[in-house]
Amino acid sequence: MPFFRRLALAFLALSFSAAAAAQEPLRVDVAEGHLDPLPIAIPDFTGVDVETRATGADITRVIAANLSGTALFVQIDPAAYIERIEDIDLRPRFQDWRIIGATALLVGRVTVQSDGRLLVAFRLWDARLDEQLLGLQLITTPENWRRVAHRVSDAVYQRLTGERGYFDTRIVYVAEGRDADGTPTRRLAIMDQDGANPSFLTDRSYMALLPNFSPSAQQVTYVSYIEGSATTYLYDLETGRQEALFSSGGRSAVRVESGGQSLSARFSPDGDRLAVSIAGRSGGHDIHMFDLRTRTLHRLTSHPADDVEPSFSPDGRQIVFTSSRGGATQLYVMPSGGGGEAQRISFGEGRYTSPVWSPRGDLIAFVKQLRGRFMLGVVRADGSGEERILFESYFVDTPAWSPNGRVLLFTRGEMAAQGMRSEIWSIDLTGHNLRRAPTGGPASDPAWSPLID
Amino acid sequence: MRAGWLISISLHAGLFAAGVIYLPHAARVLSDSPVVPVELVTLAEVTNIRAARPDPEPVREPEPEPEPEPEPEPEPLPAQPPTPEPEPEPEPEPEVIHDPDPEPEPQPEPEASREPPPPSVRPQRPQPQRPQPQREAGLDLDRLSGLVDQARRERETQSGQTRPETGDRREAAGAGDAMTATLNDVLRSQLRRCWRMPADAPNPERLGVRVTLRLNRDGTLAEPPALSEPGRVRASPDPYMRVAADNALRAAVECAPYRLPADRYAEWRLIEVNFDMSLSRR
Amino acid sequence: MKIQFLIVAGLAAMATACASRPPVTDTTTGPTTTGPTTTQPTGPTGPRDGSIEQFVQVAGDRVFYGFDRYDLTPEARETLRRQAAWLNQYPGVSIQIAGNCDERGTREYNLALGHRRANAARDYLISQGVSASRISTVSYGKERPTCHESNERCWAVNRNATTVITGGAVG
Repeated sequence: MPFFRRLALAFLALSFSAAAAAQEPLRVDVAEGHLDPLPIAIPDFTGVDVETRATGADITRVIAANLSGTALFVQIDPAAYIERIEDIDLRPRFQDWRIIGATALLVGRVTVQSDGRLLVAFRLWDARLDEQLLGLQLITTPENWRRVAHRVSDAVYQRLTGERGYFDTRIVYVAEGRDADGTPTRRLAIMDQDGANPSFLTDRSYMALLPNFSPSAQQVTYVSYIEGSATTYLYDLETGRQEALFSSGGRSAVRVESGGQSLSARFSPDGDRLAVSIAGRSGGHDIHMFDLRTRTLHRLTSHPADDVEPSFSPDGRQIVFTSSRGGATQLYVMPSGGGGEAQRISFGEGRYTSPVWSPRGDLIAFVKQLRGRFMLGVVRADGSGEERILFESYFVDTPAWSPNGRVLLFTRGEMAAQGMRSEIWSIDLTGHNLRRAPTGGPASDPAWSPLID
Repeated sequence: MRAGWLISISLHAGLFAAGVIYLPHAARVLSDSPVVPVELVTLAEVTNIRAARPDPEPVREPEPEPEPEPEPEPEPLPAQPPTPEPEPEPEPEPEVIHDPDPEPEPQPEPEASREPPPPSVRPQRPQPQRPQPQREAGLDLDRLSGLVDQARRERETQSGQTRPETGDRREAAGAGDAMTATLNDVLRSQLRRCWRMPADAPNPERLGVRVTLRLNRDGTLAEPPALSEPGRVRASPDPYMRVAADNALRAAVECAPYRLPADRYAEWRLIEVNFDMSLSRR
Repeated sequence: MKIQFLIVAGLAAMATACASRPPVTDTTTGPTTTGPTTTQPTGPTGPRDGSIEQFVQVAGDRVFYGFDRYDLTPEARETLRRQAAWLNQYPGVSIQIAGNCDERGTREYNLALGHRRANAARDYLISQGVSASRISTVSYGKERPTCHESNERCWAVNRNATTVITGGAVG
């Protein structure tokens, strides 16, 4: 490690200079700095032939888009690059990268192994400190080059920010459209976090709403109208098979009241339980817990008012949900095992809905409706402190956290000629970096997968 | 040191390969729902190579490496990964769908909207009492957002001026006001513009890092800056701490050469900077 | 448990004022071009007895609700009484009541609210002697608006429970 060698040298120098050895350093406290994006240079990953060079360029493009999209990094214009990277195993000429303003330099190489698989090696250099921050290689089938790009992005992001990345993830959402006869269609769709690889999961013969990911990223719950009315379904992404979890008909695992609809189900962090709102005989909705191992259902709340939209805390011990028990809807927290009072955590003016607990645990995102506007906000999970509004619009719904808890996806609706038009947007926790998610058309109800590994 | 994290990733990949658990029950198969592949990527650590530079850098601070000769200890990047790769992952057939441009086009900020007439909002019940804030933990969002806003404003004014270098401020701080401003203030004003603070990390107050600088008379670094407590910082299992250390060292390097009054060189030849956000808390 | 009507007198009056006004320019739902309170008993040239058209014309197929409410207004009760009378006249007819909401609410909450609206209408029909076994309910939340503009007029139209004859009517 050159660092320790340098340190040793420094010590050597120190001991030779009696004056310096005796000197007390001038002490300076710096409590404030900047939050500028980190400048990173990403020359095209090298290849040995036309094909691998093309793949290298593709991978580089995806990585650059991922990193720049966070607004935590700014990519240096490749036209400014001085050194041409030909061999990533050679030390770069850091001077050439410093002079164009790069703090970090990411270089990589694409080769094809004898078994036909792609080998992507990369090194992340610190052009200020002249040292390697990361060196990794990944092997995959050639079709999976995008996943490699996302994995590299995640590794670079984590090494440079300290927090886990969220690029090797997918988003399930509701694609909104209209049939030939004008009937609205709501289809479940999935895409990579960056909009690549879009595909539909359900057809247009029935409505699909409010998807949520399992912690394994292998399953999705959603509200299906396949049987005519709202019923909670479990969809397996690998096999494409799905099942009704609760219904008044015969097919499902658990019978509920006749006409009792079941709504969006959220997984516990360990994946063993689902929290879901189900309507009872009176027509009122209560939060229920469904144990996926024993396939048993028990009711958690029993208030005459509607209790909907449950979401687990990351430790699985609590849930937050929406209830109209106090009049206009508000947010409440209670133990997920039952046996505790529901504590109200929202206190501002307006109607609160759609709470989602942050994966970091300290915050709950919500939607608030006030004076004809909709707002996306966050509040501390214990209800203390002030709530913070991140975004306001004609309509906002269904916030969904990135797996690292830094970014929120949400449905944003704006008035349009044929009724409201919905899109999925993202914003980060600081209320900055507002962006539209690259869904093809109108879309809503985003669900963000955990990291796929 | 870094190996631990990398190994962890590899292991996770292996774990994933070991088995994906899902519930066997299924009621219905959709004809038009394609199987979405979830593939595996094998990770292996690259040996940390220090290979020869093709041509020597023109200007360099003294460094122990011999120049063009390849160093003997680390081998060059092997064609095969040095660690045995976890064996073969299931490779479900991939589904190729048309591939839209992944770059999200930059979107304009939301325009001020045409306000609809507010629908009749249902009157509120009397508000229950809000719990008192008990702790000051986690992320202070208001403060963070304020910092981000401030950083943006500063960046804008800077780019608006398009000064070559940042000499203006250095002059003001350095040469002119040396008599009144303390050395501390001069250094602080220079360093705060070079330091990427950890304000967006959880509990940034815990991420203080001290760096020792040895300067030449012309304000250049006499040697690379060093962590004052390398053991505590480098051995920390907290990835945020490692990043905080990197950012502190980068700040020290980026800010050089320092503009300081030459006649007081004896006072500033050795400096210890404490990069610590907790120092600014009320 | 029984349905709870959270009625505050003043609010109910407000809601009534609102709900009684859904205008009749809603052309997307076919037959419902007459307001629920303006229909008259069948004239000599009216639709056939026991037909869907007759049901819509005689009774009215929709009742309207106030913003974020599922309690029945006096107009809604009036409509439902006519529906019940007609249904009691044709006991072979089965119906589905669909609860709908305006776009000014979040999705899951609106599914719950639509369910409440459908149930409120159903329970009233049952209280008027219609057998529960003839009635099914569904909530579409805000996903099936019949009025497609973003204004108070359309929102008021879309806050409804719509009775659809699913079987037993005279073709």
